[in-house]
Amino acid sequence: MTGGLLSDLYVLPAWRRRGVARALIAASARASAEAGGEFLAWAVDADNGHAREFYRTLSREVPENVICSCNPQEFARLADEARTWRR
Amino acid sequence: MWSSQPQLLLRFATPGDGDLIAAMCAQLSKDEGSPRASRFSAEVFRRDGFGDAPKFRCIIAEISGGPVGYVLHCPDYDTDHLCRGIYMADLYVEKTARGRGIGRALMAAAADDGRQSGAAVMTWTAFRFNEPALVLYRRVGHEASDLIEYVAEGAQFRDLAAVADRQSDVFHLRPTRAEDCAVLAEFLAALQHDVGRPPMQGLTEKLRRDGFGPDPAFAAIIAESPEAFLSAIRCFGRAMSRRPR
Repeated sequence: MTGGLLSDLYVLPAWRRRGVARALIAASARASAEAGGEFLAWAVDADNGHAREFYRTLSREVPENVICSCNPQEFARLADEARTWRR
Repeated sequence: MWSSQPQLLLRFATPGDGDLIAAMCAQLSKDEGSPRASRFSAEVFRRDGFGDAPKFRCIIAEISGGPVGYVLHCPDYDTDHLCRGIYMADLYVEKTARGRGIGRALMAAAADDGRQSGAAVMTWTAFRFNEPALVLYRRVGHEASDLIEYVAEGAQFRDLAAVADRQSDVFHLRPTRAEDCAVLAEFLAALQHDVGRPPMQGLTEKLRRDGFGPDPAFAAIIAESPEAFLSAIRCFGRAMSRRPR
């Protein structure tokens, strides 16, 4: 199953609460669907109450998931580990 | 191919591995206690993972020739570091083979593989109650415990896509072009400032390099009014997952 990941969403302060964000997310969902996608996912800071309230009207909150990552240093360390195992 | 210990071989999956991956993916869903069966069939595996524009790459772990696990990753982009990355969609090790470093070896192989195509970071999601997995993840990376994930799928996804039919009479949306990089950079800087991140150098150039070259790492949509640009979004359209939980 493929889908889209939304990374950044920004609306100029003067234009907030006028449907711009909803339209941008919708257009992203549409673009994802046109490429064969079946979902759109994104993340937000847990303390951003306004955004969370808005996102709940469009999607499902997934509090049981935790997002993990390797920053460039951690990533390089991990990739280096495997480099020595190449056959 | 990689080999981190005797008898353990990590190799790239081929289209012929469809049934094997579908079976391991189904087991992964089951082990996670997912209420829904996995829909990742051999056919979907072959369709999405191979051909002209593969959406993911898959590495299989074998012990003495028998498969014991796999990792599946796809291209991603990171606007915190302005670099390409990989998204680890699946990581699975068979129950009997756990505790032997195979999960970590698969993650390392995925990182090594991703680095060949320019990735410098990696992201994935874990089930909050899967403590054994989180122990490994904290060793190789870190948790972003301040982030909450949102997913629109099924009817919500269709409803959302349908909203795109509605046109506003005060702004309109269009895909971004290379000329928009300066505006995108401005918006990204404002966004990062709003969440308290330090300013970054060379935003415009990096966005142009990664988003508007021969192999773009992201796509963006911009909203504009007759008078001004309003906003922008970056949509990384090629991410792939077994399915959101």
